[in-house]
Amino acid sequence: MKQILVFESTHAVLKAEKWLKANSVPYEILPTPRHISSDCGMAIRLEQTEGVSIPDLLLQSGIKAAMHPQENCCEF
Amino acid sequence: MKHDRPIYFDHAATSWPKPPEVLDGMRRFLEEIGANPGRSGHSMSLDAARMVFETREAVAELFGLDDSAQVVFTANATHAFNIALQGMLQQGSHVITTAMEHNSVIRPLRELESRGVIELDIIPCTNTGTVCLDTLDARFRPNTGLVAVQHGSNVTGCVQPIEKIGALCSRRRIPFLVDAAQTAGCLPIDMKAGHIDLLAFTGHKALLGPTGIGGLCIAGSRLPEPLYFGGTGSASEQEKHPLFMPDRLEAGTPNTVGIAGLQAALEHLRRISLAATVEKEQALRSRLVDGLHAIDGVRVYSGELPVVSFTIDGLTPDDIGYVLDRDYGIMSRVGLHCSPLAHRTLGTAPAGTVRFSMGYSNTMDQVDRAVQAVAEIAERSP
Repeated sequence: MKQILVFESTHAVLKAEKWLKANSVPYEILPTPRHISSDCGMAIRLEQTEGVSIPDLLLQSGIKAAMHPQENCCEF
Repeated sequence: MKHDRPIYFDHAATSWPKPPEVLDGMRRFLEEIGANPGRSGHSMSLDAARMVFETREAVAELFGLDDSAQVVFTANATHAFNIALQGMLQQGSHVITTAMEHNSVIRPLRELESRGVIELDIIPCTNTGTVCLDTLDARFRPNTGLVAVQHGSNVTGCVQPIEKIGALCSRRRIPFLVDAAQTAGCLPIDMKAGHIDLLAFTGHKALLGPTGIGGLCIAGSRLPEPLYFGGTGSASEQEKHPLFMPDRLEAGTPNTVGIAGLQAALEHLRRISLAATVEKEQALRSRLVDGLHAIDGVRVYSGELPVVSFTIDGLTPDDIGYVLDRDYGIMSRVGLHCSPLAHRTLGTAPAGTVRFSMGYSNTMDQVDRAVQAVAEIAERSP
């Protein structure tokens, strides 16, 4: 299942992007789905991997992210 | 003799010419990206935001700052000082600064003093412009809220013992603000080694970027209160300005084309290496200082940076500057250099000095021609 990660700032989104690239994690950046409460207009969508919490890994690198399941979000 | 091409010795005011990569970087941004960073979700806006992010990361790396979110882009160093000083100082704070500071620091401090917000303590320096650590140490008070020091002088090029001053401040947990307007791109700066809490820089001097872009780097957890408020592209549903960095201290559309120029300038600096730049500029400075010292009637005021002031007995700095330009095509800066305090310290107020400030684009031949020009002007002195 896909998940949507939201952040407080554009800076945090791009810091997360840098981490995802460095760790070869596929992702997409998209406008934050309207119904998700977020400080920032951009969000990151990625595939959820069993037993791996990307938000926890990001937090270890000082990047705060909130996770939302894809099913409640955009359909595209 | 005047040559077709001017000798540009005013790099301390702004560097010229800029590396071609800087012009290319700015043009490429305007032609290929151009969008507003972090404001819209589309891919061009995202590319603009990535460029801003990468530039923040490059600035953080240059100054040894762990978190690039703590790099705030400003219009120039003066803007950065105003954010730091007006945002950090509370009612009743005692502030220590030095008698070598530029007006960009002194004027905001004098304004805060005249509003009754701070008590200002300006410590004297030696007649060559150096801060005495014992004098500084004796001025700390229980209510000292900040120490502000210019890293390198825009008048003489003398460099302050930043790491030792930083250590004194750090021991007392007093925020330390450093003016790196003249030293960023000219000397290595490490905010950790220097115990620097706030570092203000400009992009258009030795970093070789365009005018209109500078920044404030903040180490540690104590952050200035915002100086101004507005749109950030974040927390849009809230009417109150967000308090997280870097949005806390930035509002409104940033100077993206300036940031793109700064990014290219930092890449240029990385390519040619700061060490090689320092070596070349030190060689230029030594040759200039030696040449000027050898001329009768010339008094030289110099330090470690490629920024050298001089006077000629019997002539005013403005006359010397005029003749250097008219007859020799040499661009200098004369007068007080926005630093009347520094000139009082050096004993060169109120007339000031002639300043030659050199950069990466200058050559030994230009230095020799400038020394010859000064010698010829000195010979004409009454």
